[in-house]
Amino acid sequence: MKLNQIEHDFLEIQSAYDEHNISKEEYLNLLQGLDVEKSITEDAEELARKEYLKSLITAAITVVSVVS
Amino acid sequence: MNRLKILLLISLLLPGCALLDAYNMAEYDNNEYYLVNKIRTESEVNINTCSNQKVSSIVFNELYEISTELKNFAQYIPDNEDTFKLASGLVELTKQGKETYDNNDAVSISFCKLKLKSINRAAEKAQEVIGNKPR
Repeated sequence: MKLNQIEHDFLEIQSAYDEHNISKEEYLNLLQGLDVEKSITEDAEELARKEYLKSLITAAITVVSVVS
Repeated sequence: MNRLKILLLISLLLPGCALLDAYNMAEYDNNEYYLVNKIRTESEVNINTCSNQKVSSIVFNELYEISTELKNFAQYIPDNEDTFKLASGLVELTKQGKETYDNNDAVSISFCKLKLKSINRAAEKAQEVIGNKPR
């Protein structure tokens, strides 16, 4: 999760709280959700790295198979 | 034999575990993609129903159920730990919303919208990588 995205989401939650559109419990719940969202983003980036690596391996195998 | 050589060569350049994890990773699964898309779509279209507490309560309950279904589906597919972790995160996120409705008769419209937006963003990120899994 990029820093400016976190900041944007945080400010949106903060603004809703400051304007009394959400309760304190809802505010805390949403902040905890932001933390979970950050973990999901990190897990997604990890999976994306594996997918990229897998594509490199597959491409290397294909090249070797064609050449030999 | 050549395949073995190239794999050995790559394994010298990369950490062994990362290579093995990537090489053995679970392939694309239609059911996983369907379920994560359902979470994303439900959270997107139901932002418009946030003014109705009863409907929103049902929506969050459904989102929690679908996320749990995705987590359980992914759990015992070999070499699928990353998808299981993603699904577990979605379960946590949807559970936070569901429990708010379970324990409160007057949930604010703003909470509903912000939580659905959060679930939607997370589901979209998960959908992108689940859709990119090798065929």
